[in-house]
Amino acid sequence: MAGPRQIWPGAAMRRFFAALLARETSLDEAARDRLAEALSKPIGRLLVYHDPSDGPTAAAGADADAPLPVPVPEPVPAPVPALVAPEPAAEAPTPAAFDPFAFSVVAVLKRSGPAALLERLSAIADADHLRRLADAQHLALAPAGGTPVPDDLDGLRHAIVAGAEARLAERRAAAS
Amino acid sequence: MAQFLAVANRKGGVGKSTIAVMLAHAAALWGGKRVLLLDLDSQCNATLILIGGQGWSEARKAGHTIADYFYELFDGNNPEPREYLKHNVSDLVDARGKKPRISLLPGSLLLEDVQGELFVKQARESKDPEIVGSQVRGKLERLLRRFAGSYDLVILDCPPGLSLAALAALKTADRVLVPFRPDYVSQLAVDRVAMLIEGKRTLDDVEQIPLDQRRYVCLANGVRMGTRDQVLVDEIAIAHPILATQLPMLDSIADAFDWDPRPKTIEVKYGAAAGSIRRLYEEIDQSFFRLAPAA
Repeated sequence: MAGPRQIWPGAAMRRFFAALLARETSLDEAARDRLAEALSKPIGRLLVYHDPSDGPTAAAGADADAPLPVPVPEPVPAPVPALVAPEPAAEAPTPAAFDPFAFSVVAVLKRSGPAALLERLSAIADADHLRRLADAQHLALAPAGGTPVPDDLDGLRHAIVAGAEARLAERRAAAS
Repeated sequence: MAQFLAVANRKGGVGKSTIAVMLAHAAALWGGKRVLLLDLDSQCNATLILIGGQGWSEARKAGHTIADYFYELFDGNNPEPREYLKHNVSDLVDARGKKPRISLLPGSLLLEDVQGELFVKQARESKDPEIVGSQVRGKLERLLRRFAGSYDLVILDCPPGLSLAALAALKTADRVLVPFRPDYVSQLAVDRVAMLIEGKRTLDDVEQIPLDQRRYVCLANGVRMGTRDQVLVDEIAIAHPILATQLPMLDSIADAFDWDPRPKTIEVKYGAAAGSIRRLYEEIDQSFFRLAPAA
């Protein structure tokens, strides 16, 4: 599989700048080439590499007069609020696009308590989604050697709460 | 008077040295601060990033590393701290081509040996290992403070684990920055270092301290896109203060730490990561440097 490639390759970028400088200034060719090189290097490092799985983009070696491709800003993760207890995360996604990481089960339990966590989990009405949530966030749905994993929605939700409580207890034990 | 900022985590490989250097760059270039970085990690990564392999070799041959300084001191001599420092280090320049005011006390592979020898020497005065350890740590704390000199900011790049130097750094620092990677094993490391920093025996005791009154703040480093890492970051945040800025996992950060003597601006050096580093510096500047040191 081909690796990611730069949206605006260096050679095309330099030709663009050189042509622009030729149109807009009276600099000689050597000076235009030096400036085009000096501009291309830092800009080339700022542009994000494009993932080909997103679809076709402007081909390499495009016409120097072609419109600039829009640089894709470097993806930055959403910030977590600092120094204060964050608000609970957004509502769980719809069943059509279930995200098992939409919110931290352990964080909701710790900040808001088991009742609040059960309420959040009640928005997930698909048993498979509940199981995926537990699996993704490493929450044991049945104690080792204990009762079987419940298969009803209510049982699964309570099992997730118990699993999160066990994770918190584990963390405290490790830190003690 | 210099503010001391320790960059610490018991866990290795979380980005302590790289973040220490990033902050030194940012504070000197964007903040206009006079910065001193003390490399307390015997892996010497911060030293290699700032002066390269040849620069480090020259410092070792000249006897100008942190271990050399401590040896001289513990032998009863009174070395001048400034003689051990390298000035105007790093490959950065500002927009006018001027080097930032960053000084470095180069690290040493022998720093752990120094601590061991100091422990043995001190043990002649007391047989109680706890007392001996406490006295050695106290001496190291006083030595670290000697470097305050004419700097605005002293960054302590701490080693992983629990060496006497790491403990001395945590005690000396006005503030501690705790980088972590969003993974499950990081929780224990962050919980434990928080207990050390606040001098508490349990995580519950640490959590009794309001978030805005703690001496430390955590920084998520190497964060991947998507919600998975945010869940792990949030699990750290339930017990600890965390900076809103997160450092993404970017090739441009990794590439920036390959030593290259050719001068460049901070934006060129860090490429796509420069924006994140700027936000990090501004957030630390607002929430840390402009506050009075915690009691």
